[in-house]
Amino acid sequence: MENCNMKRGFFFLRDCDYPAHQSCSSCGKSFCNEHLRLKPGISAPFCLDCLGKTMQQSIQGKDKGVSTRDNYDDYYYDTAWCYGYRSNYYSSGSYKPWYFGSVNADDSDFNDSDIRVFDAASESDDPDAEAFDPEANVFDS
Amino acid sequence: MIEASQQVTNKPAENITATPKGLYAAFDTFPAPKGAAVHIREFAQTLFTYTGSGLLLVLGDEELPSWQIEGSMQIRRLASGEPNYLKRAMQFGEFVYAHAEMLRNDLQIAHFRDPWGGIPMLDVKNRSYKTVYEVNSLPSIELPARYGNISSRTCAKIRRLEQRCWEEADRIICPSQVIRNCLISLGASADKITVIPNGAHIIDAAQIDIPADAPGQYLIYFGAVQSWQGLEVLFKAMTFLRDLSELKLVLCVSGSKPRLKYLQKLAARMSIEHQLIWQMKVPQIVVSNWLAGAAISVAPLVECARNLTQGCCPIKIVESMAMAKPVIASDLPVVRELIDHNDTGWLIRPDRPSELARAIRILLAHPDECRRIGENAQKKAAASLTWATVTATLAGIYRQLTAENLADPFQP
Repeated sequence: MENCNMKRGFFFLRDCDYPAHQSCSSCGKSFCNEHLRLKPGISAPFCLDCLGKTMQQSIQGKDKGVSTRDNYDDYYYDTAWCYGYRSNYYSSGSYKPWYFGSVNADDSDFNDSDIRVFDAASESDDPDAEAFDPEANVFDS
Repeated sequence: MIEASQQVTNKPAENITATPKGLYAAFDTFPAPKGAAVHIREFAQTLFTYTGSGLLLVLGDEELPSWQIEGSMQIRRLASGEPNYLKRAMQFGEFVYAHAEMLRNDLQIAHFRDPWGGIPMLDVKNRSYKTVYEVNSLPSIELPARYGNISSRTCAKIRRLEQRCWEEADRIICPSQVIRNCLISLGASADKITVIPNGAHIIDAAQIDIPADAPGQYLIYFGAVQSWQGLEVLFKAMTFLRDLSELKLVLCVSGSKPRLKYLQKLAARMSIEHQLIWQMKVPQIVVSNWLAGAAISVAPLVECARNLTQGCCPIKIVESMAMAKPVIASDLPVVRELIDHNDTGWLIRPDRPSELARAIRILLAHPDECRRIGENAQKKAAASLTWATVTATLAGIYRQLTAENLADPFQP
């Protein structure tokens, strides 16, 4: 089963580990239930990224004076707003997030196999290795 | 979703004395019973004394407060229970970015020790501060020694982060000429790099209380226990010294539990456990007490890429010299920067347990020579390796950076 295509986080993005349930009506990618909402008035599933972008555009568009919160309930508004803010933040050129996942990763991003070798469990087979210890650090002189 | 930012906002604002003008980030637990923590303390204090106020971002644990104020210094700790090193590093990056972004208009200087704290500082747009990259080590070189399954592709990705740090930081400092040469060979600009060795406080061993249970004659090894430190060589050397029945080896060490357990088992297999006195993760003051009574301090560094190519500046050698203790150390370029053979220390070929054992015998048999070498070492430390001397050089770099900022107010 395909995993959810949503990326979690803000400054450092990670894959969502849940299985996908439905596709977004806007971008067509598959997402888990946590990252899908029924858009008010349309009753079609939209991912939080697409919903958030729509909300950001409507805030910046002609109907700037209209309160978006009047149209959506808090649950819908607050969650999607974060994703819209994130998208807007990246596209404004303020920041390029690091991505630590496997979905469409470019060559400089860390992926699952990069991350896995740093698991404490993967060290335990090697008696010479150092498992996680907050007081231990490789950078001692 | 924005975990690190949330941690920024939970501070009790009424207690903050001044907006930080200096930021120092280290992906390391602070305080901790090891040389890196001493280094962080001395350099962070130098930065914050220079800027007048500062924020230190480090790792913590369940016993250390997540936030505290000490004079003009604020300390914020990320207490992460994340066992995966890379994920923990990412959490720390978010933590640093959130603070640097919040303070981007207030900070004068931001100083970082690793790419995990450095990339977020460099990623802040429209910032007012200058950046200093302190290179004590390169994760792309050291991590493979700790994580055997790490691939060259993963190392290359980490190397690209390091490269961004040395390319984009305004200044680079490192504790040895070997590290400087390594950085230059990797493409860093030589003009940006200043070598500032580790330091120590000059201490008269006669004024220190030696532990009551200390044996009559002992060697000391203190510091971390990674594979490049050469403890296996030292243990083997101890097997050649069994006839010196009164001689003990005191180990004031910190490190991960599996590694320490492995070393204890190794000592048992070599039948030298009765020659060893373990002092695990003891505070710095206890290490000083043990060092004060030691006949010889040992630093048997291994001939490996970490010590040869990357370089280091073993703080254990500097601290031993500052207390007039003769040091027997591996004859490596990084050690020769600190010690001249038979003058300020005693050098042996690395990875030769029999040579190490022979050197120990020679120095123990000639206490006058031991004393002379120790005194020479202390004179050298007093002349060029005190924290006062090395931090004065660091403060000079901060002065240059802020002068550049004033000269070019439109610099991002």
